[in-house]
Amino acid sequence: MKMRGTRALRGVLFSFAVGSLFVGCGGDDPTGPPEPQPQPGELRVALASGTPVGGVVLTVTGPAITSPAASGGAQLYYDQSGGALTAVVTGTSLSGEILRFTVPDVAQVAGYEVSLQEAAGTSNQSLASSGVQLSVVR
Amino acid sequence: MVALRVTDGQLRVVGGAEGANGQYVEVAGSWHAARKTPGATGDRELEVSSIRYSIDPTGASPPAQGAPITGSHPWVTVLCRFSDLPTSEPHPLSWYQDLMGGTEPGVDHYWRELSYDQANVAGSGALGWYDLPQPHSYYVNDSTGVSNLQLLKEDCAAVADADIYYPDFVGINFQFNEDLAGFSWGGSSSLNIDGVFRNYRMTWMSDWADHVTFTHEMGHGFGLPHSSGPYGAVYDSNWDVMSGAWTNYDSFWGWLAPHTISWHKDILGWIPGDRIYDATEGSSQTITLHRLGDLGAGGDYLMARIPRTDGTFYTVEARQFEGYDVNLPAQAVIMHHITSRAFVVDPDNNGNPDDAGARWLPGETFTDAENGITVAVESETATGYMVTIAVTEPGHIVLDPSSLSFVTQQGTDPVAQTLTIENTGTGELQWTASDDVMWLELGASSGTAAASGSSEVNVIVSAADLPPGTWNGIITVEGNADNAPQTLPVSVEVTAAPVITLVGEPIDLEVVIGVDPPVHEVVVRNEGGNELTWSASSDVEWMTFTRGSGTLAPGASETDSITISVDGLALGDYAGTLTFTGNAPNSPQTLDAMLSVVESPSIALAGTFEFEAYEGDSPAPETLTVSNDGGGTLSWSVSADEAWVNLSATAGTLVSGGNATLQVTANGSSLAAGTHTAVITVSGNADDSPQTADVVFVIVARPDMAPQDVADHLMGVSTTLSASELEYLDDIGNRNGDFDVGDFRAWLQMEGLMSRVAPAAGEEVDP
Repeated sequence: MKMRGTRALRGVLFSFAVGSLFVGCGGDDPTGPPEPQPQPGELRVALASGTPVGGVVLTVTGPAITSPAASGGAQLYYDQSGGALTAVVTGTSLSGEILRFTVPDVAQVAGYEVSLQEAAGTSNQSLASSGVQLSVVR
Repeated sequence: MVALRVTDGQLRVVGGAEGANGQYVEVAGSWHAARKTPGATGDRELEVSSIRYSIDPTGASPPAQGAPITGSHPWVTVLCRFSDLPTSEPHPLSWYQDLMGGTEPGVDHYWRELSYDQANVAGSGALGWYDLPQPHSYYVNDSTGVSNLQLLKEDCAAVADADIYYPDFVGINFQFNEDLAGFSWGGSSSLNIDGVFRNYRMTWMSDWADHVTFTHEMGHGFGLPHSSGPYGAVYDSNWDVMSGAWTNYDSFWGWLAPHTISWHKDILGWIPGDRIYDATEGSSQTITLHRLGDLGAGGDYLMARIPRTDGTFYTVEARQFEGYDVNLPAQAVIMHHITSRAFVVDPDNNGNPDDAGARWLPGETFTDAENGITVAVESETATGYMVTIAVTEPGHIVLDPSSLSFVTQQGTDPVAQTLTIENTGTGELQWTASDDVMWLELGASSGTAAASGSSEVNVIVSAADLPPGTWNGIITVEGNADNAPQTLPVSVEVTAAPVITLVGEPIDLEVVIGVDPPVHEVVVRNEGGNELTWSASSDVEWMTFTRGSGTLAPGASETDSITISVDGLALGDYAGTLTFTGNAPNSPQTLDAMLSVVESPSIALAGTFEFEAYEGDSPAPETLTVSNDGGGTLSWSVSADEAWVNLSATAGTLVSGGNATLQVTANGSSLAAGTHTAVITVSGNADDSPQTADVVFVIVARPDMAPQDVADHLMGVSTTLSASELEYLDDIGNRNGDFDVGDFRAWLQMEGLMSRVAPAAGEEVDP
C-alpha cells in the first residue's frame, strides 16, 4: 500500500514541481532533476517495556528540536540548554507515545536519536534501562 | 343364669358358701359388665349389696345342700352328643352305668366309704347316648372359654326326657362327648321338666371326665367347696378329692379319687360329734386321731378343730393308705386352715402342699405362736396318730399410747418413741408388730408378754428424706389375743428446714508481705423454708468476720465481711477454712481460703522511644517491655501523658520474672515540625511504682522545592538542591540512596503535582 501511494503522490508532485520550477528558478538548467523540499512536522518518542513504567529521563538528539510536549496525559519537564532535548516524563503508566516534538523535516527522522537515562516503575522503584525501549518515530 | 359378685362376709349371712349352696336366696345389688372368667355365661353380673334366705318360689323343696348328706341320693347320668359329633363317645354307656354303681370304684361304693356308710347314691344310673339338636360351638365358645351351662342342661335333659323322669333323682350328671372349654362343672341348678321346677344337684362333664372328675363334681353337688394349698391355686392338693387328687391312676377308670378332708366330711355330717376334738384356749391334750379312710371302732377322734384368735380354725386329721386313700402322697397328719374354705397348712411355703412340709410326722410339732397353738405328733399307730394339741390362753392387747405423733424438721430424724404393748389377758401374749410405711422402723417385730405384762417397742421414724408435710402410717400388732389385731396410727409432721447457702468465690489471694488485702465479702442466704440462725468461724487467726452470726428469714440474705490481716505473716502459702453453721440440714457450709504472702513486685521498663518523621508522617512503632523483677504478681497499668503516644495495651499482670511487650506508636499526623516529648508511666502494686519512660518525637519539616528545580537537578541541568533535600526526596521515594526519577515521581505524587490523566488511545503510536 505504501508503495502504491508513494508513486501516485510523486506523480502529482512532479507536475506541480515542474510548473514551479519553471516559475521560480529561471532557466539555467531548466531540464535538471527537482530538489526535495523539507517537511516540518512532529516526531514522537515511543516507549515499550515489559514492566509498567511510571517515569523516565531521556535525551533526544537531532537538529532543530522545538516544542517538546508530553503525550497521553504524561507530565513533562525538559531542558534544551545543551542543544539536545533532555526530558523527564512521568505518568500513571507510560506506554506507546510519551513525547512529541517539532522538527523542520520529519523525513530526517533517522537523524534523531533517543537515549534513556534512567527509568522508574509505577511504584517508583528503579528499573533497569535494558528493560525499557525508546525510539523516535514519525 | 346370672353371675353374682358376692363376698365371703356377705355369704356368712346365709351360712357361708357351703351353707348357701343349693338354697334359694334373695339378693340386691347393682349390675356390672361381666368379667371374663371361666363359667361366666351372661353379659352382666350382679354385684351383691345384700343377701338373705328366701323361700322356694316354686314351692318345691330344694334338695338339702351342705349338711347333712345321709341316706340315698340317686343321680342319673345323661349322655349327650353334640350334633356335629354324632359318633364320638368317650366311653360306652356301660362304663358310665358301672361308674354310677356300687362296685368299687363305682361312685355309690365311693360315697358309702367316704361317708362311713351314712350316705350313698343307690338307685343311680346312666342313659344315652342322646343327640343334641345343636353342634358343639352352639354351646361352647372355645375362643372365650365360656360354656353355656344353661343351654347344655336344658337341651341334654330334653333329649333324654322321654326315657327319664327327673324328679325321681336328686342329682343329674350331664355327660357330653366333647370338651367344655377345659372344665367340668358341678353344683346345683334348677330344671323345669317333667312338670316340676326344682333344684337338682347337677354336674356338666367334659368328654375327659373320669372317676375323680365325677366324684369331685358330685362333691360340689353335695355342697362341698374346693380345698387347696395356700398358694392361690385350686387343684394343687392331692389330699382331697375336692382339689387335684391325681395320685391314683387306673387304666380303666382314669384317676381314682381319694377321700375328702375331715372338714368336708364334717360339713356333710359324716363325722360323729364324739369323734371330733375341739381344742379350747388354755388346753393341752394328747389325743389319738383315727385315719379318715375308715371309721374305725371308735374311742378316738377322726378330726380335731383348733380355734385361732382371728375366728378361723385349724383342722387336724390322720391320713393313711386305707380305702380310697390308698395312693395318697404319704401317710401323715395333715392340717388345714379353714377360712371360707380349707387350705393345707404348709409352712415351708415352697408351693407344694403335698410334700414333707405339709406332712406332720412323729417328732414334728406345728407351732402357731401368734395364736398360741402347738400340734405335736407324738407317734403313729396302726390306724392313725397320737398328737398333742395345746392352745394357750389368749392375751389381750392394749397399746399405749393409742397413737404416736412425731414432729421433726426436714432432713432430720425425730427422737424415737416407745410403744408399750400391754397384755391384759389371761394367757401369755405372743405378738408380732409390723408397719405399712417405709419411714417407720420398729425396734422389735415380735415378742412375748406374760399375762398382765407388757413389751416395749422402740418406734423409730426415718424422716430425713421426707419432704415437708404430714405423713401417716399404721403399726399393726397381732398375736394370740382375743382382740387381735390392734392398730396404732402414727403421724409425723415434717416441717420445712432452713438451707444455708454461701454466695461468694473461694478466697484465693496473693498479697505482698505486710500489705493487707481488701476486705472480702461473703453473702449468707437462707434458701429454705424456715428461719435460719447461723454463725461463722475461722480456723486461722489471719481471717476474722465482721458479723460472724445472724438470723435469716426464709429467702433472706445478708453480707458479712472477712478481714484478712497479714501482720506477722512471713513469706509463704497459708490455708484456712471459714465454716458457717446453723440449724439447717446442710450445715455446715465451708469456704476455703488460700493466701500467698509474697515479696513486692518490681516494675522494670525497657525500650527506647526516639521517633523521627517528616511532617504528617508516623514512624514505625517501638517496643516497650514491662517486667516484674520482684516477687508475687505485678498488676500493672500504663499510660502516656500525650495523646500522640499510642500504647497497644493498658494493663496486665505479671508473675515474678515475667514480662510483657507493648507497641508504642507516635502519631505525627497532627504535629508540627519540631521536637515533641512525652512520658509513659507504668504503675502497679510494686514498691517502686510508678516507673516512667521518656518519648521524643522529632518532626522534620518537608523542604519547599519547585518542581522544575527538582526536575533540573534530576536532568543534571542544575544542582540547586541541597543534600538534605536530596535525602528527603529519596526518603519519600524509593529509598535506594540516590535521587532518581522514581523519587521525583514519588515527590510529585506526594505534592499532588502529578497528572493523573491517562493517555488517549489515539495518541499511542507504534514504535
